Amino acid sequence: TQELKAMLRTGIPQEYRCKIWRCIIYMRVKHKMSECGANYYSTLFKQNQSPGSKGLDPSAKQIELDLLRTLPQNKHFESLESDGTARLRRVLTAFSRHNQAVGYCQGLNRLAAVALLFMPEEDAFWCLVAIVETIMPNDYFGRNLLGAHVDQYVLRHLLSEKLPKLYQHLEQQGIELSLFSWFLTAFVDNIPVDVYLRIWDVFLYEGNKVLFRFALSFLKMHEEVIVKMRDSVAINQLLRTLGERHIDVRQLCYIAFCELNPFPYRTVKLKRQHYSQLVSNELQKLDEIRNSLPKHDRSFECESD
Amino acid sequence: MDKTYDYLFKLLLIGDSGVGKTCILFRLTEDAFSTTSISTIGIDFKVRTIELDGKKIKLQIWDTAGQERCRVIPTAYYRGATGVMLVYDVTNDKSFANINNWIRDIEEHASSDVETMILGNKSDVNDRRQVSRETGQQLATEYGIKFMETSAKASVNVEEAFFALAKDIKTKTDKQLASHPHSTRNTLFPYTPNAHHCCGKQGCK
Repeated sequence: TQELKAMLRTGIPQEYRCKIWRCIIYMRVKHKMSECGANYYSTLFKQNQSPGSKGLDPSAKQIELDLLRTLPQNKHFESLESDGTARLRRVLTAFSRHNQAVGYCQGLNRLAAVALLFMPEEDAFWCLVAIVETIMPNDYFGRNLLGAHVDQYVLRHLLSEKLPKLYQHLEQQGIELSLFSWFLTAFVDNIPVDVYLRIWDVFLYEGNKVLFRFALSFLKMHEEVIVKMRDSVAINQLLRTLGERHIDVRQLCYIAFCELNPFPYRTVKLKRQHYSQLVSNELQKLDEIRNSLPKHDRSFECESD
Repeated sequence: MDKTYDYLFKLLLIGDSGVGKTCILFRLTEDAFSTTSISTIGIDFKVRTIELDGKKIKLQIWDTAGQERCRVIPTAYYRGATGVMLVYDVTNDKSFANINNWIRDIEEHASSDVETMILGNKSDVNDRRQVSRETGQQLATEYGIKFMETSAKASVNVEEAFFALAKDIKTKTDKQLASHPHSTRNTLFPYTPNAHHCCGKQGCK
């Protein structure tokens, strides 16, 4: 409802966050939960690895590599013995078996870890399902990260409409803006905790469009500074640390939800449609080039197998 | 804002996930090693200015995510790169085997005169070593590119490696500048539209 939306945009008090996030997630995935049946989560661990796979599957390997590289500053995830680490491993493993088209993609670790800070393990698993399968567009975390690539084009297009001065300046400086890390982690990257939690409050309820609202809001906050800069290195440096700078959350939200209006979902959707053809052609071309080159004797472990 | 450097070299750091790319960069830019590292998502960026032959050289280094499906993200960055650091982990033979594939990526996407160097990282870990120094050197020799073993943790050869790569790039740039004063625009920074930045050199306008 509009009322709930407005309330969430002002931020959920910390003591209610756990409860409200879980309600939103339940709303999003209850049909999937009833399809999968009770005990679904625990049955995911009883399956053996798919028979054809040699050794440890690539998802499991990558999960192990990332466990301690997820939220290393947080006491729940700082060592292999920390209580959160084992839960993180199980949530990511369960998800990689539940959604085999995605398996495990770097970025999911941070989404799962943040969920684990606020809810029990099984709910955190469903939170990941909600984000990947109901909030984000299809193919976002899949083999080619198609959706994430498309959104970088959409972002640049929106930038040209909403902040034309900044867009022009970046063009002149030869900088092609891309913010993969924010879009693949819902802003759990180089941003203070209190800021990304506020983003999650609305992200979980309203959906993926708010990622653009916030990305543009961060950029707008620094627009005046950036357009005065004449050194592309310095601009790149600033762009990589946008979120680390002192951020006034209220101002960030005000820009995101008031100054950037109107922001209809339809335009985002149309832009996504427009660019997804272009990007998938590009990715296909890359695949073809890759396959046409002489193969060296040993090749990458194929993730899609 | 005036430039405080004579040259700008854009470098790309690639290699399998977990080989220590970000730690190498952290050692280079902060001269420190952190046991709590965080996996790189998408692409990241760091800068270090060094001095070579009395010239200030700014190294703009793109750090990348190593997971296979992220390999396409830096495609656009290969085009503008003048150097590539290709990293494997001496305690992980799979990461060494994949060097061949990363080299294919360079051949596909980078400009033909890009300077490349192979680094075998984690050279301080001897009890779990799977790739000998000789094997690493041999592969680099086959491809005709430079090779060093490094340890970001013990601070071995990280500076040396980047200095060596920068020196090769500088030599090549100087040679090109001497023979065709304006040609570098097309070969080194093909996607930098601003003419003032054509070769990263002050005064080249």
